[in-house]
Amino acid sequence: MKEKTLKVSGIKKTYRTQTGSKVVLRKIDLEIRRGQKIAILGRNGSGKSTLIRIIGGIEEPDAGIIIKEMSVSWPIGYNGGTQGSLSGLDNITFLSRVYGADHKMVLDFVADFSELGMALRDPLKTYSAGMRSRFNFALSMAFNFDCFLVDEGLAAGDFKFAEKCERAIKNKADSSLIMVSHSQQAIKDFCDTACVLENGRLVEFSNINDAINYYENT
Amino acid sequence: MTSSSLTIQLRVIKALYIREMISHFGRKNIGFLWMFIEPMMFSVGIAILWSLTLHSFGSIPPAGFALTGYSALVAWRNCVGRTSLAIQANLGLIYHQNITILDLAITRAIFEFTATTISLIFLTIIFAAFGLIHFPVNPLEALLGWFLLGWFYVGAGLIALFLNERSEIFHRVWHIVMYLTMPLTGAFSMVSWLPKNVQSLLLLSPMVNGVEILREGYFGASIDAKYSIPYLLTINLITLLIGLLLVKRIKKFVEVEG
Repeated sequence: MKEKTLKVSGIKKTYRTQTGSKVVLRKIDLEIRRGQKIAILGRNGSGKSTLIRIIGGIEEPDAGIIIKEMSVSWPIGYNGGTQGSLSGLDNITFLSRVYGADHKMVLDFVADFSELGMALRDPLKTYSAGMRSRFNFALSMAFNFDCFLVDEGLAAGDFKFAEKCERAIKNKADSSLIMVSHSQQAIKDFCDTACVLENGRLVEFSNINDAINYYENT
Repeated sequence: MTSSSLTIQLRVIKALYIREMISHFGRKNIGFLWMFIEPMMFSVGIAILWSLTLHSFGSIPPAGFALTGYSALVAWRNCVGRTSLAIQANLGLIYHQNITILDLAITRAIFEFTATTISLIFLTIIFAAFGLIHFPVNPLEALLGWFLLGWFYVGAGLIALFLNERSEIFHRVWHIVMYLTMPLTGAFSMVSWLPKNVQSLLLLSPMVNGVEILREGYFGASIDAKYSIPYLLTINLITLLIGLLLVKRIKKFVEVEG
């Protein structure tokens, strides 16, 4: 059987701003195999998040296509994807339905992982920032996506929770990972290859240290 | 997690629909009973007012005239008004690639229409039980008229969503548009009660055609309903098609927060 991949080809994206149009992504080509963990490095405003959002299907590119043979998560790392007006439990039920997952399993996982206990009955908008990101992270880990999209590292919660997040991601050894981060440590910990996004193009490296060296010296 | 796209879409619309019910009616108090009580209070009130003003409705009982007219009016107002806000109310959900803008729009439009449908059926039974109206003479015809109306409202709702996303002006003028289109909803008069030259003009409105069918189904052929089903079908088809094409174009200029 042919191996499943996620293939991004010829992606272009231009934003219209007050001062004229700005080309963010010129021509992006990328292929991710099952189980591959890839980091994307780039300066602020280089288009990393835009690329993740396009792969995640939130934004549409101006040109190019994405062929998804794998199921892809929503971008993890923001508050996006959950609903503040609904309780934690209602959010869990809703997303279990949307992704066709077993509700009981998702609920058990989130309750155990997030350690939110009775707070799951309250609307998310009443949560503190830490609780909210714990909830969001736990929920995204509860689904068995083939490929996870992670934006801006795993800044969720305190030190202990951060370790737990690390373990959770490492447990998904069979899944692919596309990670955007400024933290070199996180990238070294999680990824096996890296690209640098500059001037709207991806420069690929087979070795992470090469990528980091390149990124720091340009 | 690999399912065909139709299965996914149906699953998503079902989930959105239930979610819509929860956030619309809440879990507390009498919750979703408001679905019936609000329109009930309104049409009962109108029926009383109209009976007092000795309005003449031909052979149609005032309560029945108010019920059919008000239901059509409310469905029109809610389908357009609430569907136009489908994206703003659900921005966070576009994060999930399974959930498309079309899913959000269709769910909202259908939710609003079914809510009014259930209240219409419920009130028909109540009004008939209290002897305010007779049970519909031809229920199937009434259903056909109502369904054709709903089809038009859903299509119009999709177009409203596009306009609302395209320009802030829509949000400011839609209340005015709702008032100005009130005569075009068919709620306030049967076509045959009006002068001939006004009749042909009003019959250009698909909603007038639909309400005439609905009322013929409720009160029988003696009320002299005027309508054209082929005309209504054509307009419905065109409206829905335009709506779908416009909604498909939205994604390109919506800004998702995050």
